[in-house]
Amino acid sequence: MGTDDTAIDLGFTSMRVPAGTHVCQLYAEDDERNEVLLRFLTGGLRGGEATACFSDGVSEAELATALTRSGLSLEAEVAAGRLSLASPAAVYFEGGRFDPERMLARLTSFHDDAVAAGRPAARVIGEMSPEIGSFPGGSRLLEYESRVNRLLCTHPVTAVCQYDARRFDGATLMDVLSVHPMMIVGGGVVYNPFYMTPEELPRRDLP
Amino acid sequence: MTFPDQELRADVLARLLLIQSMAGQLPRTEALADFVCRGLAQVPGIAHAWHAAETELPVAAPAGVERVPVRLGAHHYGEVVLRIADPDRYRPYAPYVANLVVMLAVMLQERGQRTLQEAYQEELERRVAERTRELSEEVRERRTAEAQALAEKRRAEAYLDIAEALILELDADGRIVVLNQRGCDLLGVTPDAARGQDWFELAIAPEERDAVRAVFERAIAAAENPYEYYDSAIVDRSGARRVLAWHNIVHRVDGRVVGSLSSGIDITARQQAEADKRALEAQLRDAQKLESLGRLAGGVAHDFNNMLAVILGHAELAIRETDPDAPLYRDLEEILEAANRSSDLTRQLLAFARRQIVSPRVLDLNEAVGGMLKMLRRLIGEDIDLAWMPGARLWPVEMDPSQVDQILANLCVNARDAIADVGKITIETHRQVFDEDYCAAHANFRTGEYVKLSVSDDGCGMDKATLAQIFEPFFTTKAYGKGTGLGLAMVHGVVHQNNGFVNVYSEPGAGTTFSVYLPRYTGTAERSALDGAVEPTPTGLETILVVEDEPAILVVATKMLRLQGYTVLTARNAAEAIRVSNENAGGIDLLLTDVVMPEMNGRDLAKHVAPLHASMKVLFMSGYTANVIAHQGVLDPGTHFIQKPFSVQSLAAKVREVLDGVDDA
Repeated sequence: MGTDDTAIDLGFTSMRVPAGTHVCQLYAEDDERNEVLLRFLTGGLRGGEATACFSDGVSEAELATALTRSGLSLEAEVAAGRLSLASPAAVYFEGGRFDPERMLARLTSFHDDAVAAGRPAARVIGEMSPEIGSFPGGSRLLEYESRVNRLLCTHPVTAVCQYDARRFDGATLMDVLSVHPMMIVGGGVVYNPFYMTPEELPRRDLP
Repeated sequence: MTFPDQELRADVLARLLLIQSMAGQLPRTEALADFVCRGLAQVPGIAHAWHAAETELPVAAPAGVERVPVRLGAHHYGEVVLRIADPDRYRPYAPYVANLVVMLAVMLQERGQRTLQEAYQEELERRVAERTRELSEEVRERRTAEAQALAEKRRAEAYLDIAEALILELDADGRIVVLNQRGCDLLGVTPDAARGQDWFELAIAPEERDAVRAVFERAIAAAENPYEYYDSAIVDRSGARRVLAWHNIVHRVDGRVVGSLSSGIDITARQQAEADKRALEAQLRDAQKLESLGRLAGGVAHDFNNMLAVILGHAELAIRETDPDAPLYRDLEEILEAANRSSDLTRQLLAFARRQIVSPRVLDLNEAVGGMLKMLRRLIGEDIDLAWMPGARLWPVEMDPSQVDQILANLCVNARDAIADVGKITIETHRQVFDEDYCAAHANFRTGEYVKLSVSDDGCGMDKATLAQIFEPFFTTKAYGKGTGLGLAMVHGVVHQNNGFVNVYSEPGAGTTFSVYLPRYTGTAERSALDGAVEPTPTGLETILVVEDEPAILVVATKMLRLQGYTVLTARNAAEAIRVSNENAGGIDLLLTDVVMPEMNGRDLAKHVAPLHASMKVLFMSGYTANVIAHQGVLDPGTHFIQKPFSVQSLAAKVREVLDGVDDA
C-alpha cells in the first residue's frame, strides 16, 4: 500500500486525495452517478488497486464497455481478483438486516486482502439504499458511516458513498453530509464544512 | 463583505454557502426546506430549525423563537422557524440566515414554476398525445368510414347498374345527377355524358316536354309531390316512345329541397301486351257475336227453308196441274218466284254467316256474281257506285256457289269501308293465263289457267305494313266493332281451299284491288247444265224411304217423287223409319232423310238401317246442318246432300244422280 497521502487518483477529478478518504456524493441524475462510478472503478483498476463495487447503478455490460475503452477486461479483472462486484442488497442487508459491525469487518478484510495481495491500494464504491430505514439496524447508518471514518485511519480504503437525492429526505441528506469529510460538489471534491468527527457527532437516530 | 461581528466564523459561512449550493442540486422540493433547516440547526446560537406551513404558524411567536418568512414577492412558502438558544452567538449570522431563507424562497418558486411548467408541459404533452391519438382515431375512423362509404357506394352503384328499373336523380333545375346503367342504355348515353344534362331535353318528346317539366317544377317549388306515381313516356335511343311507370320523391338534404329521386319501370311491352289482349278479347267477342248470329241465322234458315220447301213444293205441284192459260197459273208463278227469291235470300244469309254446307260444283262465275249483285248493292249502300264488268267467254270453275258469295260479300264490305263517303266499287271477271316466266317475276303467282275475280275500290288504300298483315286472322284496320278481322282470312282460306290464290294491289290514297284467281275447270260433267239447256225431269221406278219430321215437307216431297214414278215409303221420325225399313228389308233403294231430327239424326239413322238394305243409297236433305254430315262445312266424301228448299226438277235430278251413281259408300 502506498504511503503518499495524495497518491490516490479518484478517476473523476484531477484532484488527488490521500488513501482512505471517505467521500459522499449526493446525486440527482443517473448519468451523474454513473459517471463517477465508472471513472472511480476504472481509475482504481488502472492503478492496480483492489477495487470493489456495491451498486446496481450500472450493469456488468456497461461496466465491461467502460473498462474496455480503458484497455481493461472486466472478466480478467474479476478473474484476477482485482475487481469485486456485489449488489448493495447482498452486501448491506445480508441476512435481512443492516449490521454495521459486519460491514466494518468486511471493509477490514477487504483492506487486509488487498495488502496481502500486494495491491498498491484499495477502493470501494457503494450506493446506500433509501430502504435502509425499513431494515433492522437501519437506524445505525450514521453510526456506521462515522465508524468508517475511524476505521479508515487504520485501514486506508478510499471509499465513495453514493446517495440518491431524489429518494432521501432533506434532513437525512444533511445528516449524511455530517459524516463524510469530503463531498462531491459540481463534479469536484471539496472538504465538507458540515463534517463532524466521530467524537463531535451526537448520537442521532434516522428519521 | 462586512462582518457584523468578530465572532463570525468562516466555517459557518462556508456551511451556509454549501447549503445554498447543495440545496440547488436537490431535486425534491419537499426535501429542500428540511435540508436547509437541518443545516441551519448547525449555525451557532440556533438550537433547532424547522419549516412550517403558514397556516400552522401561531399568531405571535413565543420568546426565543424567530420566524423568517419564506416569501418572494406575492408568493409565500411558509416560514422557517428558528429556536434561538443563544441570541448573541446567532446575531452575526442572522443576515446570512435571512439571505439563505430568501434563496430558499427563490428555489421553491423556481421549483414551483418548474413543476408548473413541467405539469403544464406534461398536460400539454398529454393533450398533444391525446389529441394525436384522437386525430389518429379520427383519421382511422374516417378512413374506415370512407372505405365503408366507398364500399357502400360501389355496392349501391352495382345495385343501380343491375336494376331493371331506370333510376334517376335530378337536381332542382332538372339536370341529371345520377342516371343508372339501365337508363343510360335506354337513352344511348354514358353515365358521364348524361351527368349534368337537362333531363327533359334529353329524354322527353318535344310535344310533352313542357307538361312534364311543369310537373317537376311544381313538385320542387311546393316541396311535395302530388305525382308520386304516374306514367309518362321517354324517347329511347332509337327514337321509339317508351312508356315508364314512375315513382318519384322530392329529394331533401337537411330539410332543403335539392331535386328529385325517381325510378321508372318500362311498361311499354306490358302496355302493348295489354292492348293486344284487349283487342284480342274484343275480336273474340266479335267472333262470338258472329258465331251467335250464325247460329241464329242457321236456326231461322232451317225453319224458314222448311216452310219455303212446302210452299215451293206445293206451288210447283199445283202449277203442273194447272192450265197455263188459267188465271191461277199466273198466281202460282208469282208464288214460285217469290219463294225462290226467298230461298236465295236464305242461302246468302247462310253464306254470310258461314253456315252453308260446302258442296263444290262447276259454275259460271259471271252467273254467280250476277246473282249476288242485288244483295251486294244493299250491302254497300246507296252512296257507293257498284260497277259489274263480267269478262267474256269465261272459263268454268268448280266451287261451292256459297263460297263465291262469301268472297264477294267480304271483299265488297272491305271496299265499302275503305271509301269514306262516296266512291266506286268495280267487280270484274277475266280469263288469265300465267306462264313460268310471269310467275318467276311475280311472287305468289302460280302457272296455269285461271278465272280472275277482282274487286276494286277507289278508297283510302293501304300501306305496305298493313298489306303484309291483311290475311292474318283477327287483323283489322277498322274501328272497334266495325270489323272482325276474319273476313279476308276467310277469303284467303276459301280461295286456297279451291286451289286458287289471291293478289292485292294497293297504295295509300289510291285505292285497292283484290284479285282472286280460281283455277279453270277442265272437266265436262256439267258443261251442259252450264250451257243452260233444259233437262227433262228424271224419273224412276225405285223404292224410296222419305224420313222428315216436318209433316208438310214429308207430304210435298212424297208427292214430288211419286210424280216421277217412284214408290215412296214415308216416316215422320227415326223410330218409324226403322220400323218401315224392317218391314221392307232389302226393298229400299234410296233413303231420303232429313239431317236434323229429334231423338236420332239422319246420319245415325242411315247407319242403323243400312245393314238391311245392301244396295240402298242415302240422300240427306236439310235447310241447315250442323256438323252431322260435314266437317268444317265440307261434306264428308261419298255423302250426298240437297239443300232445302228444292224444286221438283232439282230433287228429281239429285235422286236420279244418287241412284245412278256408282256405289261410293
